[in-house]
Amino acid sequence: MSISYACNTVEHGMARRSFLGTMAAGVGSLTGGLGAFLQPAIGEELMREQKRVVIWDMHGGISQLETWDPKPGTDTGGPFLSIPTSVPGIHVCELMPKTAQQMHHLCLIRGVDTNEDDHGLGRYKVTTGRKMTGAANDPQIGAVAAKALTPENYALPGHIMITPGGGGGRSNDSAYLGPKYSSVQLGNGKPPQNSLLPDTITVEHDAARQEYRRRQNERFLSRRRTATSEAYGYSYEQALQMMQQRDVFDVSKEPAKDQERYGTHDLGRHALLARRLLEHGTPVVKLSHSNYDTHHENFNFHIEQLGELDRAFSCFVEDLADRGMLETTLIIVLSEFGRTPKVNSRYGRDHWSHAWSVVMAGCRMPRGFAYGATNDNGTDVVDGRVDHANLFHTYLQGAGVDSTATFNIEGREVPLADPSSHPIEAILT
Amino acid sequence: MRVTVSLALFGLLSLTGLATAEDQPLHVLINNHLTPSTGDVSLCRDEEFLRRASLDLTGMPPTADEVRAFLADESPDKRTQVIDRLLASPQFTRHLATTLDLMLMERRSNTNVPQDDWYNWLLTSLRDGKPWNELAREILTADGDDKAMRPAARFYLDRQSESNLLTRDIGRIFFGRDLQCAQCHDHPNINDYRQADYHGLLAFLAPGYAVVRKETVKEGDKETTKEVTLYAEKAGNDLTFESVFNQGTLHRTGPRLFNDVVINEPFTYPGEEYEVAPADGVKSVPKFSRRSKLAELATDGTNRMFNENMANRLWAHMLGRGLVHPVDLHHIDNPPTDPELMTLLGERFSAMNFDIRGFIREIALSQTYQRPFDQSENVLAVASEAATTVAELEQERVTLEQTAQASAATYELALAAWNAAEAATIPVADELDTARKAYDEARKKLDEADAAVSKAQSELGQKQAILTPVELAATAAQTAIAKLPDDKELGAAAEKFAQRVKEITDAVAALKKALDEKTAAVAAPTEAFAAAKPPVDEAVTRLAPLNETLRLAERALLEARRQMRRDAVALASLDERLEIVQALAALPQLDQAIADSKATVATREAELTAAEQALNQHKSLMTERATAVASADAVVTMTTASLAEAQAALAKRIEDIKAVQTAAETAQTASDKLPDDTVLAEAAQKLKERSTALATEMGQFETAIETATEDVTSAKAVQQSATQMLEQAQAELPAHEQSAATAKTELIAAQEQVVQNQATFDAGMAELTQQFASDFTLASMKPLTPEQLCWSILKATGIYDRAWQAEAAEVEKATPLSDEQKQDPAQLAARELEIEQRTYNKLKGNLGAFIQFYGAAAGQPQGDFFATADQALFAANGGSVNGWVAPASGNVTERMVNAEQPTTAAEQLYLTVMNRHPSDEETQEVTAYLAGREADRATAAQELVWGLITSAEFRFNH
Repeated sequence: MSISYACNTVEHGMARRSFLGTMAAGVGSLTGGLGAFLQPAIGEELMREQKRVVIWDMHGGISQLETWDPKPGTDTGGPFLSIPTSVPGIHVCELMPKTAQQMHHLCLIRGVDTNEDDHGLGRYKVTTGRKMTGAANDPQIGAVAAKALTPENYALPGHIMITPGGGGGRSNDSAYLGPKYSSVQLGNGKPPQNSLLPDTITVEHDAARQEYRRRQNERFLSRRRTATSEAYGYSYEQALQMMQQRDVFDVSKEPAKDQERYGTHDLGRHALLARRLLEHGTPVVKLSHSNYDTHHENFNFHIEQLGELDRAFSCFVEDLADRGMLETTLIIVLSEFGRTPKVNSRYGRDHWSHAWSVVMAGCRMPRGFAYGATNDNGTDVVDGRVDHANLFHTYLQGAGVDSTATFNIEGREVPLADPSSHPIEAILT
Repeated sequence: MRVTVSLALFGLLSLTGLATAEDQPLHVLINNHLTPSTGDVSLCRDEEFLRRASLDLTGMPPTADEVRAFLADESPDKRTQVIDRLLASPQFTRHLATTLDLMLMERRSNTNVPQDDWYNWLLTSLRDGKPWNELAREILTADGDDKAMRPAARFYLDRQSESNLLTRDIGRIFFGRDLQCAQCHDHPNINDYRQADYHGLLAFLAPGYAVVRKETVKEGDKETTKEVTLYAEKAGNDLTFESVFNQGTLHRTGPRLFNDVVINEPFTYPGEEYEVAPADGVKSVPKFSRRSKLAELATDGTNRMFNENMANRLWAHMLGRGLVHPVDLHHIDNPPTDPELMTLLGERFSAMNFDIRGFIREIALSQTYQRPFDQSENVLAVASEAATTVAELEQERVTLEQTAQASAATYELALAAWNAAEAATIPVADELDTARKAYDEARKKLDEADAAVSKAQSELGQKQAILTPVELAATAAQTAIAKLPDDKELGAAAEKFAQRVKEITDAVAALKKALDEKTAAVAAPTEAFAAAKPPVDEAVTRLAPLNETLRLAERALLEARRQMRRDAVALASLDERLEIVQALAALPQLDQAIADSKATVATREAELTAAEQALNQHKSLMTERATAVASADAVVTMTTASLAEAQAALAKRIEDIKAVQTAAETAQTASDKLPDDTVLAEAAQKLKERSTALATEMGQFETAIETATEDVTSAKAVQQSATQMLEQAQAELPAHEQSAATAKTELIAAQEQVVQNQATFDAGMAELTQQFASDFTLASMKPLTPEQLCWSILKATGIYDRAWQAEAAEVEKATPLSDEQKQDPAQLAARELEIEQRTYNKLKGNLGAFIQFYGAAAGQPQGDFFATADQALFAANGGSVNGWVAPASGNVTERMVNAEQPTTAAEQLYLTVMNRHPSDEETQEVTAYLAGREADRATAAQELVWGLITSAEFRFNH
């Protein structure tokens, strides 16, 4: 498998050469980040090993009983049947028929107990691997993974969030890791903000003023070269890369056949865009599907919602597997919690964090595996109980990152994951 | 301007003996403490100084006119004058208010106190010259109830009054200690921060909570109810905690500050803790406010951590990094650049009554603040002497390490003793808790019983009060009936009265009985309450000495900790100096390596030249030999031809001889037949003679052939030899080629070595330069805050000054100053303040976009630099910057467009945007840029302004 580093268009090649030409002039030796940028060959090499993480965030709390851990024929099971999958012995809900056929790539974690039934607090636990204590403001898994995985010379944003509605700009999900690792939002799959040159400036004039800026920078840097001043100059080159590679963010460039397969609904487009981004080397992509908070009409709602999810997700897993990308890409399907086994009077299920499921695939995850189990009617975990902190460690370890290490943030040593917890060793391959 | 004094390593030597005299101004003491590691004591250039001081003191750069005037000023104290002018400007307090806002609130959202209220409170406080400790005390004690002081409560209220969050932020922002990681266990990476420190501070704040009070607001005739959130406080308890790594071992603590013992809290019996007891919608007030105690302990001028924290933060504000850096990680392993200076700054800040402006003035006056930005040229000269210093420091280190180990061991012992004392105290403290709880319950039961008696009494009273009038009425009715015995209606009424009297009398009796019962029922709870008190008192009595022991143990622990801290800081501080000196000491070697590798390159070049020469010589030899072979070939050909010729001549001669012989024989035969024919005989004779003669000459031919044959042989021999020589040379060619190639490879390797050595040297220098920025030998690079960046661009593009002029004109028009008033400095200052405020109000709407792109996330430290593509996209393609650089009345772009010479345009451009003159190279570049752009000069000028505004030199303060 070979994935092209960024894109191979002629323009890109030209731009990079002109950039190299400029920078090489008057630069004796380079230290720091910019130096790495000047060696595109390394990029290609690293890309083959580059680990990626993609997070499917099921907003509102997806029902484990209508998806990964069905309990048909019990008092809590609801109306749906379970169906066999491509892995003998593992059954999922009949609302996931296409995904069932991809089970041999997946690893189900069925004994999740995060002990927090509030949306905000539950989300905090699941996405940061820590309990919110008020004083805490911890980075989310995407930001931690982006910091650990983004190559120094990667020109495009390392952490991208495809938002369901509008939006755009920078998210607030990296806490003390700094805005560099915050996700860049693609509002409903649209390209990043300000990535088009205004009409009032011609391409030629833009090139001229950028060139002048570079020379001015070079004069300043020749007085004293520092990592911060280089990083500042580099951000402009990154911006130019984003403008030149705007196509990377354009899902309509994908074949019509694939657009059809994934489904023309938002989730289908977003999933295909996620595939496109991953193929272009984006280390961390997050996409969401809303809204699973089914206090009313849980069953009708899941029929509708899972129709979209099953189609998009199964295509996504299959494609990544076909392209050999599962070796280097960790897929995570999470939610702030699951839903109560007990069906309420409105045919709904309520918030439930004590026995629910999370799914992973790729990288160090075992293929076609179910870890942990709940009891007959899904009211408790009977085997392999894990919490948010275990999962957070496991996500990182799964993507080849040592979750017991620390980041040095401006002189502070900060552990990547809760140091009093540990990953689910039993499943890491 | 650059004065180089080769006073090597002065700054790295021990500081003992340096003047710290009380009467010296602080800036002189700073100079004495922080002498440059390079020995280079030169100061930055004037234009650099002006930009730096303007940005640091007012948050925006100077104008081109200010730069010109300052450069032209020849007074010796012009820097001091500028500092004082800037400090007196309205922009100084503005910038300081913004800085404190960022420090205190870190861009948290405004949920309870509007940003403007809070910001204006800060601004007014600073304009009034409120000292830092007072400001801090107001913040730490604010509850939001007093209208005038409500803004101060934003610190608590907009942290949702969350005690863990407040503990962390008060620890960081007021004491310089980020105890976050010590919440759940002793800090994993910082030996200095213990879980007990976190919970000790938390104990001051845990009683605090947000209370929502309904208030009626009158607006004209309308009355509306609104909810106001206040910060209320309960009476505090001890906190218990355990480490997540060591579950099961419980600890307990009351309120205490880092590096101090638990405070002495007055004992109150349960039920007597409050001035105003907690209730729904009521702001409770405890008799003893822990929070007030915290504020008092922090701000009374004696708290080193509080004093040094702000001194260090103001230092960082000016110098770009703290003496302790990061500013919220004061701890053993992160020593101040100069521990003595850190102590001194804290003491002086406190001694000058926490006067922020005065303190900043001293920093600005110091040489340290005015150090150059450019890398020193003096480094190598100093480096040559560093090796000796390394040895000295290493020697010193051995002693310091032993001392540090010893004091660490002492600390461990003290810690064990304290742990034991704590373990002994906990059960009794728990008993007291239990006893207090029992007491509180007994008290509540007694209160209930008392309340029941009161209730019964009041009911009885009410009944009795009715009885008398009814009795009177009954008696009166009886009297009446006696007089009108036949009146039936009256009789019935009298009977009713009598009946009522009986009923009421019965009820009174019942109530009396109930009262007696209730009264009797008081006895048991009274007794129980009385019985509940001794256990409390007893526990208090038993706990007192234990607490005292614990306190003593803790004092010993703290003393051990202070000692350990001092020793560890001394060691860590030495290690930091050692690191610099080692890096310095390594430089000459690295430099020598470059020289050596350059020499090797020269040698290799010579070797390559020699090898190539040898190869060339060999090649000419081969050519020669090939020529020799060719000529030998020619000789062979020639001699072979000669031989053939000789052989041909011989063959012809043989033919001739044969012909002559035949002729002779024929003539003889004819002569024989005609014997007298003398002619014939003579002819025959002659033919015979000729024949004989010819036969005799045959030998010559044979000899000739022999000679020719010999020639051929010898030519062939020569040919063979020449061929051999050629072949030999050919065989030798690869060896020559090989040595030339080898020489070439070696040369390349040597050249690469030079590059590599140069890179190592450069990396070493870069590392050192960074160290020099850390130890204040060189000026730091300070990224502009989002606000500074926005104001700087508004200033550079003329928008700020234009708005100022407009506001000034409007104010002058509305309320013109009389000539007399114009002479009054106070009037003028007030006027300036007003114009500044109006200009700020006019332009502040521009800040939002900059904060969005260049600001860190809410609740995160705002000082860490980051550069992201979205910022660059905003600057390159967004509306703000592109719009502002357009030509407009008198701004730099327009002045450039109107400049007659491109050199003048360059001058305008650099003086306005960079606050300095352009270099020749820059002038040429601007000239070249504008050439050919006559048709769209405005666009070209705009591009140039954009190019400078987005360059690193503009983005940073240096």
